[in-house]
Amino acid sequence: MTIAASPKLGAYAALGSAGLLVALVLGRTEAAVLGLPFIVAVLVGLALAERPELSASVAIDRERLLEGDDVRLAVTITSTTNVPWLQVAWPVPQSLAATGRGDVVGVRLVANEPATVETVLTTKRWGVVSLPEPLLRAHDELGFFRFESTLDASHTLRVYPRPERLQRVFTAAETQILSGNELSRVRGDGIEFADIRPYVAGDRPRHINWRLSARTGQLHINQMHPERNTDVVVFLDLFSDVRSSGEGTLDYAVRAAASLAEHYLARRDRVGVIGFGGILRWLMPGMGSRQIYRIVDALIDSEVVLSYSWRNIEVVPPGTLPPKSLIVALSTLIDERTVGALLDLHARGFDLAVVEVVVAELAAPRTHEAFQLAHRMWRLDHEATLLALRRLGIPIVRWRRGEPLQRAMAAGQQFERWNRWLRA
Amino acid sequence: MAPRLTTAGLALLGAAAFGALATVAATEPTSVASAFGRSGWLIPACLSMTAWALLGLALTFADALPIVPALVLLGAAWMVGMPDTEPWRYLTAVAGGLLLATAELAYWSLDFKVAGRDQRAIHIRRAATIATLVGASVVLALVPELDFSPTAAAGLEQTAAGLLAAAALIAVAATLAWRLRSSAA
Repeated sequence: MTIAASPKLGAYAALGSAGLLVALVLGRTEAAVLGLPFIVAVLVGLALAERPELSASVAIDRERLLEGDDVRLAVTITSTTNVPWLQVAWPVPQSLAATGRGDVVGVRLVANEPATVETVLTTKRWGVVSLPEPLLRAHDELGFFRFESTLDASHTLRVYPRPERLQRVFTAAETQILSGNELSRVRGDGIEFADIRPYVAGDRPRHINWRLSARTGQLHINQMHPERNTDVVVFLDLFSDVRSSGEGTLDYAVRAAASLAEHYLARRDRVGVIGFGGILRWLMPGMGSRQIYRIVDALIDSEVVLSYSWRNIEVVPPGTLPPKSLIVALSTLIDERTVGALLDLHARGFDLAVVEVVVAELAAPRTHEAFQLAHRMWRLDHEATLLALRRLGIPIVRWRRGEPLQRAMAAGQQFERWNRWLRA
Repeated sequence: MAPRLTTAGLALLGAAAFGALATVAATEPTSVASAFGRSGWLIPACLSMTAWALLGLALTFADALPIVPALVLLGAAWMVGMPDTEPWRYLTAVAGGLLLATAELAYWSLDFKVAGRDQRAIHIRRAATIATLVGASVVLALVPELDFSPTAAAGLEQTAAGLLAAAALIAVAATLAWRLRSSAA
C-alpha cells in the first residue's frame, strides 16, 4: 500500500508557520490567531491519520456472457481499523462500459466489519477481456493522506458475439453423405419428389406410383431427393480491420461468423472456421452443439495481426477444406492477399460465397481535395475487384453497418439461383 | 447537486464572506487601511477579489496550487482591514475559523475530482469533522486574544517563547508523522 500526502498538509503547515512568523516579526498577534486553526488542523489530522490494513476479495457473477450482457463485480473489503472514506475504482476496459453512476464507489469501513461494494459493467464488444485489478484509495479523517493499493485478483471474461437469428443463408451446391436438412440434387430415399421412372428389378415396392402404373399398364416408381447435410467453412478475413468510432469491420465479421455457424450447425451441417490473416487460425469442420462452443471460443480470440508476408491458400491445412464444401467468406475485400486466396479457392472448385463487410461508411474521406481524390481512386479499384469476382460467378453480398445480416443473406439467395442456372 | 459543486460553491461563499468582512472592517478609522485615506478599504477589497478569483480558478480547474496564495491574500486582507478595536480583535479568531473552513471546503471539493458513488454517511461525517475542527480552532484562537494587550511588543522573552512554541509544534507534528510512517513499514 502506498501512502501519499495531500497538498493540503503542506499548505496548512506553511500557512500556520507563516502566521506565527508574521506575528513574531510584526508583533501582531492577529497573524498568529489567523494561522493557529491551520496548525490545529495539521496536528489533529496527523493524530487521527491511521494506516488502514485492508484485506479484500473480488467476485464476479459469471465469466462467460454474450455481448450486451451485464456482469456484476463485487469487492468485499475488511479493515482492522476504521476507514472514513474508501474509494473502490474499477478501471473499465474499452470493450466494457460502466452502467449506473460511474465506476468509482465510496464506502465507510468500520473496523473488522466486512463491506461489499458492487458495480455493474456492460459488455460492448465480443472478445476475451481481462478485468483490470480494482484500485483501492483510502482517505484519512481530514483528507491529509491517501493510501492506495491494487487488489491482486485477476478475472477473465469471455464475451461471445450475440448471434443474429437468420432465416436464410447460402446453400451449398453439393451435399455430403450424412443426413441433414439440405435437399440433395441426387436421387435416393427422401420425402421430396424428384422424378418418375419405369420400374426395374430390385426397386422397392413402396416407391411404386400406383396411379400412373394403373393408367399406363406398366410399373413406374417415384424417385425422391434425399435430405443430406453439407460442409460449410466460414472464412474470416483477418488481414484488415477498418475501425471508426470504436467499431470495426472485424467486430461485424465475427458476429456474422457466429450467426452463420449457429445457423448451419442447427441444420446438422458440419461447420469449420478459417481465420486467414497474419496468423492463420483454423478449426476442423464438425457438427453438434459442442462445435458451436468451439467455434465461438475460436472466434473471440480473433484479432488482426499486422503482417506484410504474402499468404495464399496453400498454408491452410488440407482437412480444413473438405471437398464439395461451401465456403462463406466474410471479408472487407481490401487486402490483395484475401482476394487472391478467394480466387484460388474458386479456381479449385470450391463453392464460394462472399459477404463483403462494407467499409465505405467507416472510411469516409477527409475534406481535403487530395484525400477525396485518393478515396475515389480506392473506390474505383475496389469496384473493379468486386466486378472481377462477380464475373467469375462468385456471389457477393454487401453488408453495411447497422443493416441486419438477414437482409444481406436474402440478397444472396438471388445470386445463388443465378449461379446455379449458370452452372446448369 | 454534485458534491464537488456544493463544496466548491460553499468554499467560494466562505471566501466572499471573509473578503466582505475584511472590507467592511477596513472602513473603520482605526484600521491599517484607513491610513491610506478614505479609499483605504479598497486595498482589502482588491486583495479579497484577487483571492476569490484565484480560488475560483483552483476549483474550476481542480488544481490545488492557487489555493495557498488565495488563502494568504485573504489573510493579508484581514490584517490590513482589521481595526484596532476590541470587538474586531475578538472577531479575528472567528475569521481564522472561517478561513480554515474555506480552505477545508476547497480541498474537499478537489477530493471529488474523481466522480463516484459515495455513501451519504461519508459526507455527513466529513462535514461534522470539519465543523468540529473549525469550532475547536476558534475556541483555541480566542485564548491569545483574551490575553491580548496592545502594549505588548516583540520583546526578547516573547520572541523566545514564540520560537520555543513553534519548535514544540514542529516536534509534535514530526512525531505524529513519524508514527504514521513507522506503521507503514
